Amino acid sequence: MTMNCDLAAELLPWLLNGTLEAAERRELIEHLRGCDACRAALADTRVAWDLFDWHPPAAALVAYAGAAEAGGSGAKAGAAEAGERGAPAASGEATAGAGAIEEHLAGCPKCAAELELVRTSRLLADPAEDGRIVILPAPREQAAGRQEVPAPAAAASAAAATTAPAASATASVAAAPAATATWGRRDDAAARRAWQRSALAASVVGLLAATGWIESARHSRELERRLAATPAPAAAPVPAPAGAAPVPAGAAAAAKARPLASPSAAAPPAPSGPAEAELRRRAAEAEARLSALADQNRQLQQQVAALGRTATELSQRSDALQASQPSPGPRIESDLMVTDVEPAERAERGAGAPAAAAIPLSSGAATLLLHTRHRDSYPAYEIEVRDVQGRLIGKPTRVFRAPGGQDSFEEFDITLGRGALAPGAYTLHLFGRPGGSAESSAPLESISGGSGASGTARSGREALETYSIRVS
Amino acid sequence: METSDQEMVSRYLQGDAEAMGTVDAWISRAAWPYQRRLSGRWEDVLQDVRLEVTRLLGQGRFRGESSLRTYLWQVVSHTCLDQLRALGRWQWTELAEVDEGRSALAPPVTGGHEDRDLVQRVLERVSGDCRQMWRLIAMGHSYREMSQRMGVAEGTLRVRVLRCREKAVAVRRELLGGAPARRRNVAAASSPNFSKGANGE
Repeated sequence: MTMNCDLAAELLPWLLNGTLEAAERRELIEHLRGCDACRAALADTRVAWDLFDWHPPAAALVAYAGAAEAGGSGAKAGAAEAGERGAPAASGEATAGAGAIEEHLAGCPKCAAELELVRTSRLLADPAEDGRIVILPAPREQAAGRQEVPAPAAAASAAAATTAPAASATASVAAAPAATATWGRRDDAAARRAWQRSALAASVVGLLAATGWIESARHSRELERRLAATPAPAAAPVPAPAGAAPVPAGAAAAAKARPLASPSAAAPPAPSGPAEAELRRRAAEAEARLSALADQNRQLQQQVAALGRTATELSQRSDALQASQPSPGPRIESDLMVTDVEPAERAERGAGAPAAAAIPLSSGAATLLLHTRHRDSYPAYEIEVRDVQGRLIGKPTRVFRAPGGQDSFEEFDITLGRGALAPGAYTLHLFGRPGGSAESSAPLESISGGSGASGTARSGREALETYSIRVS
Repeated sequence: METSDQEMVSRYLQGDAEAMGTVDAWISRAAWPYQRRLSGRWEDVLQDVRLEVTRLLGQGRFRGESSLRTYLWQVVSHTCLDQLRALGRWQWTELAEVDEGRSALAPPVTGGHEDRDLVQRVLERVSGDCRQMWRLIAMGHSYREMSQRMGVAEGTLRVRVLRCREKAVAVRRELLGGAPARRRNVAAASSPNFSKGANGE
């Protein structure tokens, strides 16, 4: 852009409002430095600015608002007074320029907004609006800052020192400290009022809370009465004591019909005559029933105490009895089964044939005590196990011999391991070897298989006993 | 004037606590609408209002032609509006380097009562379009924004604004008893009438 006088004259308004771009502004200012005519145009632009940016003075707006509000001479006179405060007088134009102001207001939103502020202020200054419009208090920091304001009386003394009488000035100066204290007292009074309002609000809240608490307590008592009037459930009947008054069936049904948790039931009944009498009657019945239940409870407690004493005595006796008996000694837990086996020939002698001894080898090992009546002693013995067909199954190798004494017979102990014999009936044959053998005194470790179908006639041995067993 | 107002003024000037509290409450209530607009300088403005009220009452300016409360409202509104306008007044860009050595810079023409009459007469003779365009300028709009808003070319807009300026200045000069306006402001700058009018205001 090439700057010349025509372009510079066109751009001057925007140079003043500061909206030119940097390059434009730089070129324009550079041009103005060297052009007197354009500097004169800048002065004209400022004049035009002031002409077009004209607004009614504040006093005129205030007077216009007052006149429009009151519509009387009082407001105009007040505007005249306000116009004397040193600012441009507004008395004349407040009335004569009303039309111009209205015309200006129609096209100037800025002044229209100012007029609204003035009108709002006028409304707040109206004594009739004091009780209807509440002004929010200023923030705390502003209230604190207000205390730093010098006393107006002191300022008055300074301002009126030239015109006011000396006595007035003296009085104003003397009142300055008191006035300073007045600002503080006014703040204190405001704080007191705030505290009083807070305390009043807290009192109201406390009163409401206390009322609610009293009402709640009354409801609780009423619920307790109704609960006491409710009959006991049928699943746990309580025997009524003799002195207790029976609960009327109608009252019990009515109590059942009213759910206790229902708000309507929890609410206190209306103070009607018959209902109150009915409630009183129920309350008396409930109290009597409670008293009877308390007596019964006391009796039951006494019985429980007596039973407890009896149990204690029995326990003591049991302990004494156990202490008097000898100790049975240590008990040996074992899965080894010991079975006495009697000879099969006992039946022949009229003593009754013993049944076959049951040997449960499937559940564990078993020891057989083979009893014999022979008092003849052989140097060696031999045992054979045969099945029901007489076939030799084996010979127990682990045989212990218990020599008989003067008054007893010999016994032979054999131990059969678990599963040594299949389930079934077997016969055990005891032989004595007159010739003796080393193996007779030595324990036989196992059942060895038979060498022949029949061993009963083996040379050099004598059949002594036959035993029947049933292995399961 | 009611006697109570006179007594109130007298007690206020004597530093009576109750009277001071009442007057200050009236002041604060009347000044409340301006508080948000003057938030940055609110305390200073409120203090200015108190000082002004005290000064006026001390000088006996309150003659009782209205109630004391109405009088206080007027003083409060007047002071607060002045402060608002001072805060919102357009700050011209710094042109010290251009104005250096120049004594013919025009002071604001709205400083006195006669200037307001002159302004009104000048504005009555310029078109509404001129007032509107210059109001937009005073509000801080650039010529590009204005051309878009008004739907005219930038050059056309600038020329119109220039002619409005010339018209207003010429009418003002004429009303002040000067020579008729010339066509271009370049010649008007050297007019003795203009210099006389500008300096004589």
